[in-house]
Amino acid sequence: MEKEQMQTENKKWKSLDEKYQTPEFLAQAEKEFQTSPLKDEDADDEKGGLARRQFMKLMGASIAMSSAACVRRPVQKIIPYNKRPSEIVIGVANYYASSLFDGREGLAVTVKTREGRPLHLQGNASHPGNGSGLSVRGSAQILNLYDPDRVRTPVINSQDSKKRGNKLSIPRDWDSLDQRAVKQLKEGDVRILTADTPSPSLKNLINKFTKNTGAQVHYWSPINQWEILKASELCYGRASVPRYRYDKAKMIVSVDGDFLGTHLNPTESSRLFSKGRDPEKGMSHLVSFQSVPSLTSFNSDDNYPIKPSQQLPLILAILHELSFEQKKVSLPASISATLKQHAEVYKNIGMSTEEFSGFVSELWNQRGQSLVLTGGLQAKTRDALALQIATNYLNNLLGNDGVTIHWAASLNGRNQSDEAIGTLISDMLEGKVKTLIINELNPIYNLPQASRFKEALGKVNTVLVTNNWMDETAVLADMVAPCGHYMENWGDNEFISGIVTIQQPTIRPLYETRSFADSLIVWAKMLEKPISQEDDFYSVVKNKWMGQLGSEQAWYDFLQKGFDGQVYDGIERNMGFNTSALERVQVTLEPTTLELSLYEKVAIHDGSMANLSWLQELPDPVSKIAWDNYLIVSPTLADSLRLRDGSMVQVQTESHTMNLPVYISPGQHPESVAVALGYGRGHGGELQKDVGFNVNEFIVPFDNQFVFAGHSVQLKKLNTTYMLAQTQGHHSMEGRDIAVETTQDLYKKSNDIGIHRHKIFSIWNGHKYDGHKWAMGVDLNSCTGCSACMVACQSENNIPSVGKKYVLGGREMHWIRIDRYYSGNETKSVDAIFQPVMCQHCENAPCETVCPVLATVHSDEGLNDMVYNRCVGTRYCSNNCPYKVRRFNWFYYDGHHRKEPLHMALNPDVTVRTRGVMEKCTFCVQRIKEAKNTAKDEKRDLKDGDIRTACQSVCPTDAIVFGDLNDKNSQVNKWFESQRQYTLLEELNAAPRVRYLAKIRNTQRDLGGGHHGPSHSTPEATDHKGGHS
Amino acid sequence: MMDRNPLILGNKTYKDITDDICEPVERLPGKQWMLMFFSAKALFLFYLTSVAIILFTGMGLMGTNHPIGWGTDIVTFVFWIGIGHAGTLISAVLFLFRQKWRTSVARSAEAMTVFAVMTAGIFPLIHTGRPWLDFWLLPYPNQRGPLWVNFRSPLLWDVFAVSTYATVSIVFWYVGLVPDFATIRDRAKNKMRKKIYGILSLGWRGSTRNWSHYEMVYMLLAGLATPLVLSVHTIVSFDFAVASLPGWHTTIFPPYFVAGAIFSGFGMVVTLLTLVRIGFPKFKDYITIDHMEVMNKIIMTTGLLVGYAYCSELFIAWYSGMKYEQYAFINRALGPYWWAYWIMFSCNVFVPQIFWFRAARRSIPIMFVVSIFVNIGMWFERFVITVTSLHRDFLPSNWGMYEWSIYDAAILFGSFGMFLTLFLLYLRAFPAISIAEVKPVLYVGKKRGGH
Amino acid sequence: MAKRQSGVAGIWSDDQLILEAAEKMRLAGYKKFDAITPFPVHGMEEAVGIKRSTIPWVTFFAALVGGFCGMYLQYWTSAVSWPINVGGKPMFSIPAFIPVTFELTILFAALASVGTMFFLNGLPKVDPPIIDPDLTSHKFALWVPDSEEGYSVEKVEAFLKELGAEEVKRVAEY
Repeated sequence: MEKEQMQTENKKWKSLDEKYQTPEFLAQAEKEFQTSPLKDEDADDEKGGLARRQFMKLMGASIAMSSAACVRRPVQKIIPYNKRPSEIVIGVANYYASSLFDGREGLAVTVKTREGRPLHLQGNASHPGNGSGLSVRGSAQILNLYDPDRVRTPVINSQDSKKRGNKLSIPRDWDSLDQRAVKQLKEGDVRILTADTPSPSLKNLINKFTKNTGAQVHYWSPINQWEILKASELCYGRASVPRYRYDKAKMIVSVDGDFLGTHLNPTESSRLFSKGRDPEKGMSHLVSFQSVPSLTSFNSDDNYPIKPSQQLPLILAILHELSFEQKKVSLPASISATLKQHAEVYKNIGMSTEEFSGFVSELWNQRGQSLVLTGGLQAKTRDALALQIATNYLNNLLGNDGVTIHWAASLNGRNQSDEAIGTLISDMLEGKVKTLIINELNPIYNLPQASRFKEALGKVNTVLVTNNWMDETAVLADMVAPCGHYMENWGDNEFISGIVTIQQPTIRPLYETRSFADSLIVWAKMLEKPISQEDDFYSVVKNKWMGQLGSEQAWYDFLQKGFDGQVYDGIERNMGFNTSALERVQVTLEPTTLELSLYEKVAIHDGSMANLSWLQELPDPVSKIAWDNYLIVSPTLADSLRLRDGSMVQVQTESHTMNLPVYISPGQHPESVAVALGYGRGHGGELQKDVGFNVNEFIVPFDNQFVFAGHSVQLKKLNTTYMLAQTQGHHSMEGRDIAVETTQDLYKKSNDIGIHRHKIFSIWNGHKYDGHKWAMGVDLNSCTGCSACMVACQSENNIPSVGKKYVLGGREMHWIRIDRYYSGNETKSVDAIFQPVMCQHCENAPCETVCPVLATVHSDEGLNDMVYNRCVGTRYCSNNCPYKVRRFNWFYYDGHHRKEPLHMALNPDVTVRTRGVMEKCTFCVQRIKEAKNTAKDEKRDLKDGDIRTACQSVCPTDAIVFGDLNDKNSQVNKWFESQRQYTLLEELNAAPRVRYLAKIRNTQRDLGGGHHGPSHSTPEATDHKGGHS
Repeated sequence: MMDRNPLILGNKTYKDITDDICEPVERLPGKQWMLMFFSAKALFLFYLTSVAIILFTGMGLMGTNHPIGWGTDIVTFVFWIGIGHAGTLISAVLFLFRQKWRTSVARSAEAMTVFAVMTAGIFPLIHTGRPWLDFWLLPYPNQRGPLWVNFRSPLLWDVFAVSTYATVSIVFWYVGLVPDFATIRDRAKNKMRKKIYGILSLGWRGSTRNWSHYEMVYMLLAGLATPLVLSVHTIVSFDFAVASLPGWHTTIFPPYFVAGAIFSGFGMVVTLLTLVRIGFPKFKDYITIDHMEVMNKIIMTTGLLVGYAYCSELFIAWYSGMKYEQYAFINRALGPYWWAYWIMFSCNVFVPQIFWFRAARRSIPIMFVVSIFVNIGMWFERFVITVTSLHRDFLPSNWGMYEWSIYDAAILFGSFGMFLTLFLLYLRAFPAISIAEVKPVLYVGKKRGGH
Repeated sequence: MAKRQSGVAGIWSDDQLILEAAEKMRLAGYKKFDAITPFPVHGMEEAVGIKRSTIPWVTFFAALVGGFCGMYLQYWTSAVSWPINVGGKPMFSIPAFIPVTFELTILFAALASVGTMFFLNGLPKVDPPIIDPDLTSHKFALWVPDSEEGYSVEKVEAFLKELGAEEVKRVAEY
């Protein structure tokens, strides 16, 4: 009967003429396209309905079977983001507003849950901070929650307390742990080592705890901004980390301040930065001086490689130029001497006198709307503090204080310092500490031997670690109290002063965990020194905010909206600059012929989340290398030492000597090398073991600070090589119009992007798309290459990670990749341009024509559908795809082959692909369906913006739009009509439904024919895609 | 010129011919053969095991990756299919041209064709991600609602072309064998052999009526096989030519591939026949130096054709003015895979030039070595076309290298095991020279004895 | 398959001689006789008086059928039964459908021809009696079945001897 039905449909179909497109016909046609590809999936129960939806139902149901038994909804009452509280509807996602700290920055998020499982994270669009944007580390939190290596119960280590060697770990229950803990706490001399928290409630609890129990707390985190705090305290008398307004700045000068990648709050920064970069309305001018190539230097309009020892002198030179050469300002005599010494440093960084004075006068002309930024690990030389003071002074002279730099609307939860842990360590060594509570920190890994932390730990009776992993520090502790994940605990975070963001748990704790706050409450109570009336942190938070907001309803609204308050957006009164601070401005760091800086990578940061495959497999935006850290050297240095990518070198500083593989990167100063932290983790996870090299020993403790950059270093070439898994081996465009860029002036003049536009003709007029006509636009001018889209896509579409071995073999699976091309003079300053490439959904798709089994065909809405269960895996489609966006399942990567509970992170709306089938970007077809169904239920048409693809929704700079070309007012239509619009490989007439907007660089330089590549381009150079040796 | 030299040496009678040719079939195999057979067999088993391992574990074991979706499997497929062509060419095309000398080599050439096509046929099947679903490439009615195959895909054309070619070759070969089976049947002393060859011969009698239909069909088959053989490699070349990839998207491919196929095919024929001559010394009278010389001439000619194709490819790439095309060809000659390109070029174009010298054409050792080189060169031609085009295409960000693995080697060399096993069996079981076809040319180039 | 008959066979060991003999026999008015040779002897058809084989017609029509089926199969599956947008090409993309059409043409033609040949030659025969094993090796025979009108064993034997047969055999059934 099934078959008959299909046949009758066909007859009907056939008899209807294309030109009378009756609704029946369209309905029928739609059914035609939807049913067949999935037929064999559900041939029996399929009654000619919408197969895919049916299929999803079944899938949803099966998921429900597995999870409904123990639906992990939190017991407390929480409010879905966009609908009233309701029982879980199987197959319908709920979205909850929450927030989390990704280790680097605080993010307001909405958590997508299905059947009580968090599945996917997006930014909280209405939040004034990161908005809809999300970082790679943000998206990866889902994986963090389901990390199989988490500590699942309280643990007591039978510890030899003197030598600190763990004999064995015994899982226990909370009672026994609390008993022991409290017994120790009673002894007194308690210290707490924790990172500063952005949560007012928790801060309050900690303060009460210290007050009541006499414990002392030390705020420290491995990558902190103590120098910024200290400087602001000295200069303005208030210690705070400012919020920079990149959107308000017309000129931004970054001296190693990688605000787009790793410094402070990159997601929000990128968002603000892109606001000021509209080619039509005028763009800010970003000048970068970097000792390590970074997203900021690659996105800059002009960039100059420098050495760490040149950071401070450079600022001083600018001051000198302003005051003595151009006589714009007069400076206190106290520093003029210092200035004179460094007046000419610009010559060492390859700037001519004219260039430099031109640069400085531009800075002066933009005063009041410019921004000079320094900081980040690369700037943590022994002169870090001086650098910050000088920078503050320069900004102050330029009148940027309070305009582009908000000291009042500061970034919270960063009130921590190296000094704090310094004192702790010395106290421990002096035996002043009986009990030490370490909260979610891993000093044993993050600190060098020289810090003597491990030694000091031996002098402490009891070490209690609240943490989710049995990491390097936890194994040396006596007790480990698992503290749960952001998505399991309540909280309130004030990342930016003035805006409090709620942190709602979206799943009941997976294991026997208890948040740090709850632990404090319990312990205080047991010590008979209670720190709150409430018994749990939830009540603490709830009562606090119900009190402040007035009513219970207000509290629920707060939960629903996700945050309260607004960000300061005015102009602060100029807070007078305390020139006495300038006495600290002394250049003590001697320049040497080769200087080492440690830096942090976008994905790996300090290594605290190194156990997440998504982050490890993500090709670093700068180097495109996954699964490793490496010594970045300049091409010049590489030539002189005869190094190739992957050759091992012996790296020797005063403090430490070790062997590292090199990666040759343009944009690196010939006399400076750099290597990233966060690799070579020992304990705390299977996946992170032996990935990369632990370089923390290069950190040097130096009067109350840890020095990360500017170490004098020697390199010795070894005869061994090492395989670096690089996903893009060739970095020149070979003079092809691929990632198109032009300069602001040229664009303004010609209103064109200067590429050849091909005349395309076809011998037949092609298929009609009368319903929807999906299309995507990508703005290369906004894209910073941050790669958030890649991880979001991975999370949304169940994309597997394959591991270093297979990335080397060219088997990585990302559906959207970010190509990075260099242009310009690679030995001096190199321009880089980023280009996200996903399936282009060509109307004349080359892949479809060659598939023998019709496993990839076109939908009537113009989607290039991939039918997994029809695919036999000839890989012909991939060969014939000019954009090479298709990925093949070489082995079994599917759910059954994932370690529990990682399978819980799988998105039930997306098929998990099996071995031997091709896969690729679907334009998030599941989201299109969802949006359509919602619209249908609400009896309305789809609006532009109803559908946001995963990559689009997390993009901090809104570089991606998706929409319907048949909707004349859709955003994507506007982009398709833009002057900057172009089609990738237009001449092939594949007629892609993805179009790019060319990048505009706000520079006076000639871009060397714009997009023409550096001299990599000789065919002799082998591609190391999938590895160097 | 051929018909001046005798096609068959020695003063043979019809009976001698029958005896000589049936002899290998009727006696027990010698040590030499046994040795060759069992080593071939071992290689064959090794082949099967490696294929099995790949089927169970996944295509990931092979060197294919992103961007190089096709590798050893497809390269070797095209290689073997190409080998096949010489057989059909000799038996069909030369038959139409009334080339009498073909008679003594036709049988083995056809056998080679059949086995080569069989060997080739395996590769497209195992190169897919889910080989157990390969049958989905056939347009068969099914319960999945209307669900058919894509007749626009060159791979589907392949399915039809290769299977048709296999069928017709086998039929053609078998038809030729029928009278010879009858001969063996009638000579058979022991029951078993009589029975087997009785069945194989279908009860052939050899009456003039039979012969007249028989010869008609033989000519028709020759007439059909000729366009067929051209179409097969044309269609195989479409796998590449129809794609949009620079280095593949070329109109010269059909003739280029056919020339290459004939070239490599004759290479393989020469290799095999030199071995047959050594294995069965009696055959030297039937497969004479003159036969070998003609084939060497063909090798040299087709070698030049192929060389011409290589050069015109380069010229067109430059002349087209399409930068992707131009880069693709510069990259072939000078890129990371330059060595493959130059192996191809020297083996296929330079080496065969030695056949300008009569002495070389008529020297068994030389022609053997050359024919080996030709086969190596032709495998690399396919490697160059497939891999070097794929490894650097439009967007430099995708460029990569082929991740050659031991499984690639296992599959490639193992396939020779399959081919040789079959061919050696054939030499013992079937008359390796067409008895009924040789006899009529017994007196070519000789004074007719008897009267 | 033709039913077996008895008859007489004369055997020669030289193809030239039997060719002349066959010629004479035909002129002598024999109709149903046939020559049995190990290989097609040039000119024997004329000598025995056999008309040109009709198989080419079969081949021709089989080819037409094959071609039509090929094209129709593709038209029906891709434009009628399951019309679907593939690579933005027309449903009925004729140029792309040529190769398969061609292959099926050849296939049908080839198989049909061979089939017909077997049919016309009455193959396969289940172990047919043979006159002399050497007839598939180096001897040649003229065979006169009893269905020949005015057939008598003696007369035929005499005639064969007269034609110079080296040996004359009476065959019970052939």
